[in-house]
Amino acid sequence: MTLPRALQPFFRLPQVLRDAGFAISPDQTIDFVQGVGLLGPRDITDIWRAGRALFSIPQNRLAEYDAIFRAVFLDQIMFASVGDDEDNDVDAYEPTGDVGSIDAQDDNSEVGAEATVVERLGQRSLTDRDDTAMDRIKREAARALPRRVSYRRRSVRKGNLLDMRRTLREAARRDGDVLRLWETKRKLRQRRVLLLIDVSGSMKERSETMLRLVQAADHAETFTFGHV
Amino acid sequence: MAVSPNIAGITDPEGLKKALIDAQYLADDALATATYLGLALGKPLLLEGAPGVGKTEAAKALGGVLGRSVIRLQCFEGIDAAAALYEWNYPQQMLAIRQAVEGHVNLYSDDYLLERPLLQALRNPSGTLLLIDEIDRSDHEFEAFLLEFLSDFTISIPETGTVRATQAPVVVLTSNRTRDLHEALRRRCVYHWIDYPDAALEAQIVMTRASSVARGTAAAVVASVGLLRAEPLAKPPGVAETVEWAETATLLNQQGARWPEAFMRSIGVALKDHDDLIYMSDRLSAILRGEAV
Repeated sequence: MTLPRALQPFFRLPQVLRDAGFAISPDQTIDFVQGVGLLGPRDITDIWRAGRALFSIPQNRLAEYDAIFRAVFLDQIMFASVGDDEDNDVDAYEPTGDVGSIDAQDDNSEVGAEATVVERLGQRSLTDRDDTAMDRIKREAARALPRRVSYRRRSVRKGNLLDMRRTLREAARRDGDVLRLWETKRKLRQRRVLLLIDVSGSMKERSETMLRLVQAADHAETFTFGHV
Repeated sequence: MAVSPNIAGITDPEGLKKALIDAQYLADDALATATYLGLALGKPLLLEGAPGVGKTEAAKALGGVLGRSVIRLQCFEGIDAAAALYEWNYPQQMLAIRQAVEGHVNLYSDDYLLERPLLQALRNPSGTLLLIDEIDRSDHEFEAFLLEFLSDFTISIPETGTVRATQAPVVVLTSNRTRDLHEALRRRCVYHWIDYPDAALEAQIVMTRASSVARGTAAAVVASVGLLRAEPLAKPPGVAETVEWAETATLLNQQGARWPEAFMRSIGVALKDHDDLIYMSDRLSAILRGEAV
């Protein structure tokens, strides 16, 4: 059974906490989901508090919990992964445990996934435009936009975690001789951009420019609002 | 476990926070949330924090809010199941045997049963709040026993049978974190860490608990206690000490002692360790003037 995308972080949080060495039982996951339901939730703080209380996070590991919570709920939900993969040396939260299990939790969620087809504007093409400034924005946006650390790892010669799978696979091919220890490291991914554009009467003069910007920034998910 | 969002008319953490304030306990949002979740999910509430931050008071206030009598099991090193569950009243059984001579006497009835806190709570789950205080003082064996108790809320008395709670009683456990509790026990509880309150909240607590204390006095005491807590003391003053210090200093002032002499003379209610008093003796007057040294 596939969970609705909006629910996935609620089940991913205990999974990632377990990978980080927290002892979380399935009962606690159920309590967490029920607890969040009891609280509303009115905002993200409710979810954070419910997780802290129901997963029994000790005070000395609060910072770790906070980092994981942010990674699961804030980064992964609000921003989707876009752009090319790129190696990086960013020191970010590193769950311990099997690398393979982290690979399995690929974060391919997309902003606006809950939007209807009509609301979803991110698929527009710029091919019918000939606007140098907008072209430049589109070209440079990929570099200029902030990036985040992905959960996906890639095998590299020099990383920060041993890639046992690849190392053993190569050793098996060579009758058990380990010629090289492969390592893994995190990828950097571009953050998704959410544009909220006011297209009401007072903004009429700017609306066209804004809409052209939307077309240029095809990495952005866009919503417009205004008086009817 | 049945989920019940309405607990004695309280339907959300804000409602519980207000009710606790009415019961003279100023809880922050996080504590109100954890407590509400514990009650709504029917799970024990585990409160951890330094000594004197108000863990036991929180449980007592909760008992008041819910209209339940608080049954307290004070843990200590060497506590065993008999001290927590029940014991047979052997002297009374002996007397009964002598009185009966040759007649039949049922020695294993409730008349000879001395109920201890866990059994008391189990027999009246809707009217009591079970406070298991300072669980970190008990041994691992007792913790394991509690784990079993908190799982199914049943007690087996070999002579009479099994006592099973008709509903899960409200249970609050407190720990000063002198040692780590077992993960299995933590998993069965809703957890909350109570920290020292911030200065504004602590001043509010002082004025709530000691109505005779003026706002300025409360602020001065809280500021001084904050500085004392930053020192490497054997027994840093808790919230209860802050309240007592403010009260006694106010009393001395009313009897003619001047500030800050009134604070200085009543320091014994805030610092209750001889070594701490010696350690702070040189700098106490500076701290009372609000100068961190």
